[in-house]
Amino acid sequence: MSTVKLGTQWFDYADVLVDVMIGYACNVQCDFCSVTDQMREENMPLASVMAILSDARARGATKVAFGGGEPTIRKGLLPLVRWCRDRGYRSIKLPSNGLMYSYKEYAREAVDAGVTDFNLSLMAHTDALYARIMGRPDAFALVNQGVQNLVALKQQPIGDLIVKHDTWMHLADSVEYWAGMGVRRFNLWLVSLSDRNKDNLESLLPVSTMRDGIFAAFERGKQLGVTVLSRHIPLCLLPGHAEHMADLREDRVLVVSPRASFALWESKISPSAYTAKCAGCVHQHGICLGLRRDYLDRYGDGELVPEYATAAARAPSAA
Amino acid sequence: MSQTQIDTLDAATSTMTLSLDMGLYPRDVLYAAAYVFLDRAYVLLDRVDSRYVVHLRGKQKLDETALRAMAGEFSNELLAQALRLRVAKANQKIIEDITTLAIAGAGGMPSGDRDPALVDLDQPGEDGFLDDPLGIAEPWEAKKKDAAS
Repeated sequence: MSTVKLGTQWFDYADVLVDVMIGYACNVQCDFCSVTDQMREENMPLASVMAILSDARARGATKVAFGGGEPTIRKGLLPLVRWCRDRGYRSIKLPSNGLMYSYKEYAREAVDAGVTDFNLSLMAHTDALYARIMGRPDAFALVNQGVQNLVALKQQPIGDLIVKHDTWMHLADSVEYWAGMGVRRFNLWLVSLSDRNKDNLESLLPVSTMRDGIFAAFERGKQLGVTVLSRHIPLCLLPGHAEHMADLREDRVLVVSPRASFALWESKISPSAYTAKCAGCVHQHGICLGLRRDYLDRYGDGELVPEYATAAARAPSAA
Repeated sequence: MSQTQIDTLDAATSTMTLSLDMGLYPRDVLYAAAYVFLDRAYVLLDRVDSRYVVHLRGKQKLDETALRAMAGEFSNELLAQALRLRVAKANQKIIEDITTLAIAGAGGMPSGDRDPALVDLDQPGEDGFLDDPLGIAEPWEAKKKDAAS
């Protein structure tokens, strides 16, 4: 059994999810997407992907994800999934916008090939908002059909919801809508001001402005018996909701992209920055990974309310 | 200063230090050339200013003649590895294509109409894996190109 270094720690490959960014090409252009035109042209050659996965499997890896871009538009993806399954990968995750699953045959092929985790980016709960965000008029209908197809195949898709200026107030309704379609688990992701989206400042509002919508989503999830987790927002910005905080490190994701390999929580679109105010907070280096740098650059740390164990632990700069 | 030269040579300890111009040889070439000598010498690679420095100590007793011969062989190996790197780069695409076919074949990948290559952005209709009557798999780049033309 081999180990791999993620951040400052070493992990067994068996515990690590190898997340291969097979390419950034996509079939839609969402209005908050951070992938630039240049990145969209970057694709990993299939031989490289297979070599990486062969090596990781030989070292004991059993979990793989194929990211992008939109992986389902890549010809040869499902044979690659099958190839992974036949070589002992037991967990195969496929994050997607869900459009391709609207073809019943494609959904069935994906299940047959061995995809075990269907993560779907669910933009909204209405036709108009979906079309505006994704730029495709029939997107909502197609994703609905895709979710139906997956659920009919006894899959439990996971919903990834983006938190931004025009979605935060609808998060609870989105959770309810998609829960009604059979989605039992949701992740909330804060929109990122990076790369292509870096100048789209209006897309990212202060968490304190969007907090009510996030809390409503947590509450609606509880009422409906589905799980809603926040993956990018520090606990002190969502006080009283520790049970809804996901720790990105628990997934132990090794991202392999055309440009580099790194731990997911070290990515520039992951929270990784503490401020002086955080020194002495009981959650620092614990459940809280800090703030995302783009958020900090935009809004500073004024909203943070660290939880100090004692008055003595309070950072001087925060006094 | 020459491009590759013997900086020090000590037959009493069978050691020698070579230095070479960093601008002339990529680091990978140096590694590859040094690797060839592992069975005959202990090798330490270093860098001083703009030159790589190679410390060699013979595993067997080497006199001055043998050390100078080894220096000459090292220079030749650098050239050979530089050429190999250039050839490998020139043929990288074809090597990848052949390797893909080989691995895919060994892995029982479908062939023929299930070509495991990438979506061809210049021919978005040729995505090939399934019928796509709604054009869902068509990359956005292609749509953008269509819209512009």
